[in-house]
Amino acid sequence: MVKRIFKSLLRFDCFSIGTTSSKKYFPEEILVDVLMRFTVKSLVRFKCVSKSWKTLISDEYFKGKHRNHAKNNKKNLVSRMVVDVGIGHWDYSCCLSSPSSSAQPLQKLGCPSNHKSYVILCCCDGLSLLRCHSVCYLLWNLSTNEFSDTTGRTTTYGLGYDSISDDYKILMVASTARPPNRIKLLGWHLFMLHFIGSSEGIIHHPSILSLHLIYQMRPHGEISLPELKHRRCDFRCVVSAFDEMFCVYSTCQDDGETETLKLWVMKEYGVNETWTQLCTIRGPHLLLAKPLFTIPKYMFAEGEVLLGFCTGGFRTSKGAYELFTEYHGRKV
Amino acid sequence: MVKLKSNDDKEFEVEEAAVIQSEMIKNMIEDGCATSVIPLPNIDSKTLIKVIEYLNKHINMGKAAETGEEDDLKEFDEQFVNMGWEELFDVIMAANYLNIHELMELCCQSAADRLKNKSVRAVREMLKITNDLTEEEEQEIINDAPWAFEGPEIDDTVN
Repeated sequence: MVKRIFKSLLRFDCFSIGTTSSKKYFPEEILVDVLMRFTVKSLVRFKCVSKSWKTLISDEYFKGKHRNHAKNNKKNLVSRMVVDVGIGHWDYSCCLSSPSSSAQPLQKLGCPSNHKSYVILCCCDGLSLLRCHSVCYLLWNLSTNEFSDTTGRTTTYGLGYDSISDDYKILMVASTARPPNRIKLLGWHLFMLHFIGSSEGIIHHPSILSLHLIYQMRPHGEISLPELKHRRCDFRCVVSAFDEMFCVYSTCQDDGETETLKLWVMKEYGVNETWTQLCTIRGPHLLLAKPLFTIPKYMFAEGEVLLGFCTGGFRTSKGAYELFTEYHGRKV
Repeated sequence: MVKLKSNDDKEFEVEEAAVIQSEMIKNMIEDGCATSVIPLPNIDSKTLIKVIEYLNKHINMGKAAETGEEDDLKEFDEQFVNMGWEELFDVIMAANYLNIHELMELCCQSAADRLKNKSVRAVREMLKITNDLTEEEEQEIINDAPWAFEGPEIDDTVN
């Protein structure tokens, strides 16, 4: 239906361009080819250009094109919350393409909703999962400032994109036995979301969103964890950082202050044999605020993994990673 | 050599190796339809000259990587798209018609770069679009996402 209206609009020179000699028109496919290169901010603004642009930009077919284009031209954005007079300010920064470059501040974004206080749990494709208080979770699209809330009770969580169902999923760990060797997963499926943008930590491919979040709680069953020899190991689950791969990490306290962090990915979801150790990082103070979060955020092209600490700051296996060298003349 | 004829009846000779970057002409040659002059009724001579300039420069795209001429080609591309807005529009239309993927990519990116930070007013003027939204509809879009309309990068000039 939308498609038909859109097509009929096209017939009436809505995408016309004037020249000295005569009026000419950008055919639909060329206009899409140009528009899909825009940022979300520009697209949202350009809904105001005319009725036909508004229809085109809101069209599912266009959103798909935009998302794929963004996916193939990966640009990573990093954002960071700077608390300012009781109001959280988000700063977008770009561009994170190698472990040796640092980001530059890009733009500011305000608070989601009227929640004054929240913690970013994880991010995927510019979609961010926040915890506002103990049981309230907020899913936030940073590019468009649209959000949706849900409740749950858990200590570990993950947000990821599942290409098979073309769907984002929030996975939560229902319970862990100690010593943990199996975990029970609960999850919300989020249907038909296309999100764009950015996150604390890392953004993957910007894409564009459709607004309807449909939650469906489903048990995901149990998953066996990879075997560990060290008895004092602790497992945490994260699915957000590595596209479509379920990921957990184990942390062990060695002698003294030295700690070891091992990152595992399940290459094929649900198949225990596909647990693969991705990297091992050894050093002091890896787990800063134990037993809380040290979260694998992103894997660079060269295989280097970026870890984010819940207390702020990032590191790779090579050492500290400065994302923000300077901001408004001061270090952050 | 392949002969191309613009819509203002000017003929141009182009090497086959260059012209087959156009999928359309490549298909015509393969089908044996390019024995004489190929008429291009949608392209004027001014635009065709630009397109041929591009095709000739990119004739050995594959070899560029081996001979270290990538930077040279990049510089050429940057210079190439440095043209007026209406001229760029004509080249995009020609590239689309002739189905020259790389040229299309280059020009659409350039068009997007020129438009992306423009204000709504500037976009309407550049593309000669008449605003058919009511004031209320427009205000609603702005109220939904005021952040999209603010920022130092937004450029209200038309060029």
